[in-house]
Amino acid sequence: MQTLRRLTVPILALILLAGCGALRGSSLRHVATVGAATAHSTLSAVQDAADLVECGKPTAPPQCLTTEVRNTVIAPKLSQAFALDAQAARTIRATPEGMPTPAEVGVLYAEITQLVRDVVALIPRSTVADAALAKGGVK
Amino acid sequence: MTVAAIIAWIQVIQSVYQQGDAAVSQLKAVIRQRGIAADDATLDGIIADAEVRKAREDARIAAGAPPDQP
Repeated sequence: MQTLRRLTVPILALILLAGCGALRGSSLRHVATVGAATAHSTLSAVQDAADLVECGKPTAPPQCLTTEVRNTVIAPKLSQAFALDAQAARTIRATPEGMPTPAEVGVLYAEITQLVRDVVALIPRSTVADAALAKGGVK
Repeated sequence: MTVAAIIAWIQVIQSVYQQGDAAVSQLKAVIRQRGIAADDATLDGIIADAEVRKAREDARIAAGAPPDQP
């Protein structure tokens, strides 16, 4: 949880900096794009981790994630998170160069962050899960 | 050197500076456009991948809980 908090702070900071126009030397749109790529990478790593530790998979640890929990609890959260992820990327893409990132983007990433936290809390910790999560910067 | 020659030299130097400024501005514009195009490609990639990954989750939701697992 502490690491997740550490990870989400830089993402939200990038978005907010882009929105406030604090990074005058860099393109605001580019900063928001980097934030979007980072958030997507983290979300993808969480999905991959949830798949790897699912019971019945060759990579599943002894304390695995049941398919029931994976399909009925985690899947709706990840589905919503990826929908928000795509929506945020579309909003940034539609923002003209030189314009501040819409405040909506910050709200979308705050929602994604909460969903990621919820999912990570449901994934049984193991070396397999830790290695997969580390790919997205989650340790 | 005559006054006319000095004026001619000044005009040449001015012309070089003006061309230099124009070239730098053009280069900046090209770099900016390429940066925007690269960001657009990144964002398009994120959108496409997010849709694929969302579809995977939607398939799981549709499958629901398997009968052989508690």
